[in-house]
Amino acid sequence: MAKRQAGEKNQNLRKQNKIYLAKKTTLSYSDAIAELETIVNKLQNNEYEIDELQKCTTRSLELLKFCKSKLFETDEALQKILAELND
Amino acid sequence: MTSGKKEFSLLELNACVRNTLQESLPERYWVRAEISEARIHPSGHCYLELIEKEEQSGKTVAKARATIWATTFRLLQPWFEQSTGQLFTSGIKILIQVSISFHELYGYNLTVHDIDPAYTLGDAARRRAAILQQLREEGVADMNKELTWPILPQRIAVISSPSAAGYGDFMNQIQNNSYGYKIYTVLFPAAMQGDQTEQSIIHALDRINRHEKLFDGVVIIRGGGATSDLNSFDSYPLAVNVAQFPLPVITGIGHERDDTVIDMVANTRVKTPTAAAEWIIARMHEADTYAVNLSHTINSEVRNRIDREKQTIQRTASTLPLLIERLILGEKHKTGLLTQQIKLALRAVIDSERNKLDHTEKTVRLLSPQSLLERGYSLTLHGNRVVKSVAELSPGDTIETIFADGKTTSRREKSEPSKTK
Repeated sequence: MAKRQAGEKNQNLRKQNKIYLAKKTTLSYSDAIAELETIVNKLQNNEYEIDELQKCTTRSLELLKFCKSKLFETDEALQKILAELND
Repeated sequence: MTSGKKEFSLLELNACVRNTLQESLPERYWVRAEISEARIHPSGHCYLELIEKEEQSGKTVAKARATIWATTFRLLQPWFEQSTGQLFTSGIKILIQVSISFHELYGYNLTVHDIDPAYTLGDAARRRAAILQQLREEGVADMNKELTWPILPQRIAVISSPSAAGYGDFMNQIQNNSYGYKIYTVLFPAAMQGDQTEQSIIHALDRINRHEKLFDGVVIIRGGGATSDLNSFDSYPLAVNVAQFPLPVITGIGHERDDTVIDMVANTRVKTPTAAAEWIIARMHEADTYAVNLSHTINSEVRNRIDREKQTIQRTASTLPLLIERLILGEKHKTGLLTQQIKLALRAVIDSERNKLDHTEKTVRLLSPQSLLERGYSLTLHGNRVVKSVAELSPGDTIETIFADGKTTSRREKSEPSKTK
């Protein structure tokens, strides 16, 4: 029973991941952190097949890169919207 | 001159009042009062209107004019404002040391010699406590405190006075943070001192509220350093707005003494605008470090997992020969057992066959001509043929009789066939 729930959970996460990949622009820093946390949890619970490990590493690097860009790169769109508030 | 009444001129009467007052109240006295009006004359003298209100009704029940001479006021004002964080202005309650005077022309007047800021502070504290109590009773006091910041507090609405030194400090800290983080700020200007403070901050909060989704939090900052009027921050309308604001609020109002009410209801309270900026930068750094750590954890978990798999494979590989050897040994043992069993089984078969043979041999031996001869039977031959019937012999035939131990030759005399035949 628990296993099946875990399986469903994984499936949901996988679905979510797909959504992230499909609409990359809507990913927030919190989303990225949440996804990284999920990967860590699944790794620690041995929920990945050995064949999936490569994917984990790649995805985590992608997410980290995204986080770094959020921290250091200017979001032009946001800056424009906020600039309008100043007027 | 009329009648015998004793009459005074007004001046005489007032002089009399003055003398009486001076005689009966000659010392300096500590008096509690509220300032209803304070005017500072260009000469530096401060003229006060003091009142006392009835606690329940708020009705004014006493009134007096008071003067602080410039020489005293120059010392008292900065000391008072520094100690209390409040302007020496109308609306505050004070404890002052006064002497009483009466002037024939100007009337009753108090001269202020000293002031006790602790009383004013105590009064402000009582007022703050009352506001806070009201907010608690309404269930809103902790609402802003209970809001959680997003992991990355990157979009900040700033309420400040654009010209305030504190705002400059804050922006400088944010824009030149040592990590190089990108932090977005929008200034919502407001008066941070004077009568307009309360309303202009509330107005700024309303504007931010309309764009709530664009921000992670609000910072209310005010030029640090010098004293002045923090009274405006001990306001119920302002506190109730901050407490119920949907975004977390940081206050950096720039004072060291007791918290104002909005400090108490805000999500986070820091002492200075610079500290507010540092707080945000520190949160950004936490978020940064957290992401990096998660990524490291993933890498090391993956590496550990691969190492574990390798070990499993190696262990399997190293145990395989042993396993095979054990298997072979087992098989050998089994074969040995089988051989043993087959031998036994064969022997049993052979033995049983041997017994059968022995038995047959015995039977055969019993039935053999020799054994018949030994038991007393004999065999008759005629011309090397076995004679089975008397009719085969003619008189005078020579016959051979074989016994177990030899043979005799004889001649046939007479034959008599058996009657039974």
